[in-house]
Amino acid sequence: MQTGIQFRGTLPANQTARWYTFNWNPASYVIWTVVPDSINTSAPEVNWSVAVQRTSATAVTYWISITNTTNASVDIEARYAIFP
Amino acid sequence: MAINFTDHGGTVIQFVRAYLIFWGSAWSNNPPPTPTSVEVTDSMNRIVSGGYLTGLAQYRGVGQGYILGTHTVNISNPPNSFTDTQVANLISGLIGAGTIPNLDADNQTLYIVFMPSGINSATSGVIGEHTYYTNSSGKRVHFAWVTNDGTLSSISIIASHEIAESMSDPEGSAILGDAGTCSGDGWCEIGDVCEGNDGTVNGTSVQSLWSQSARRCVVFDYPTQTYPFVGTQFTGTVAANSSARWYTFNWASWQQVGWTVVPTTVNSAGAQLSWSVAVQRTAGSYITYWITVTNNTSEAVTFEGRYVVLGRWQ
Repeated sequence: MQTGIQFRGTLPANQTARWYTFNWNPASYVIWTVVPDSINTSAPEVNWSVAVQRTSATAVTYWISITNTTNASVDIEARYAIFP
Repeated sequence: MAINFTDHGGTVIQFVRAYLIFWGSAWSNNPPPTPTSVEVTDSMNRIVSGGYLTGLAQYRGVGQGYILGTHTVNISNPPNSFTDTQVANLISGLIGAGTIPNLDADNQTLYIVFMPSGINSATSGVIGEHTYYTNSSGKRVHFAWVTNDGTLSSISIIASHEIAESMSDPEGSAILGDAGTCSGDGWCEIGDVCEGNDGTVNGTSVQSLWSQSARRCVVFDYPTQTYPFVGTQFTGTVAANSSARWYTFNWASWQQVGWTVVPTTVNSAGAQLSWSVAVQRTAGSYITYWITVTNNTSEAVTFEGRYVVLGRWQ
């Protein structure tokens, strides 16, 4: 399995933003997770959802919507895991 | 006297964002110096985002980080016999000019200045150091400097020492050795008692660090683990037509974890449960997952909350 961080970003308080990442192999099984890079000891910080687009016979684009559920800006990292 | 470290409760850097500054025109020479700034940057990336810093979790959850950026200063050269104040003035000037980023909101930035080969500190025998200065907004700017003997291994060993100490004790007020632990002057920190005891982690040379839990010097790295692995973290019951939330804490931040929910109550009529996951980083090394489970039926449903640890990186 191959894992990594595809992108990092910052979400303003109580907002949702969407990132996309393209040209992924449609034959691969890709799982996305999101983790905050900002420390918060009191409450959950983010949740996310993933949408998928088949842009061609050989390429998939993933759209990752991330919501900051706190009253402060949160830095995030989006991680992938590719099953062979 | 036995070595012993105590947490004095001061500031730590939980999740370091390291900004690398290569000071001096020598870094831009053609042909480039040995090692090059690119090689040093690669080594620093291996240190801050690999297994080396995971052992700092025992110190208030301090964890890993990443390289925020790099900058080479061509327009000035460090003086031989440079001082901390001169390094601080360099960083302050670069921030003030907008050349390098200012502190982030939660002050997790660490500026690391790499000297060209042959340039030495004004303090005889000191080859690396970390400290801070206070900026015009009253915030403490944490920085380190690293001297250069022309070998990548020396630079990475010195830098690993300074990065780990900058995270566990950036201001001389956090993880410190008890009286008698260190023989030298200055802050007595987890790298100071382990100098000369080096190893290789994630393909780069590093210095060992004091592990208070193991009570010895350790070259920290990831634990041996085969991925993926799965399990049931918790079981629960959700009342009819309602939602409930569970949380589970102290998951390693460097592992990638997926969650699923499976009912154990049998129902042949249709979908029973749906779920969503929220995430919280409680410390540099630790993640708490919050799993909200919704029962879409008119009867109580029992379930298993299952995890899959997909892997890690670096």
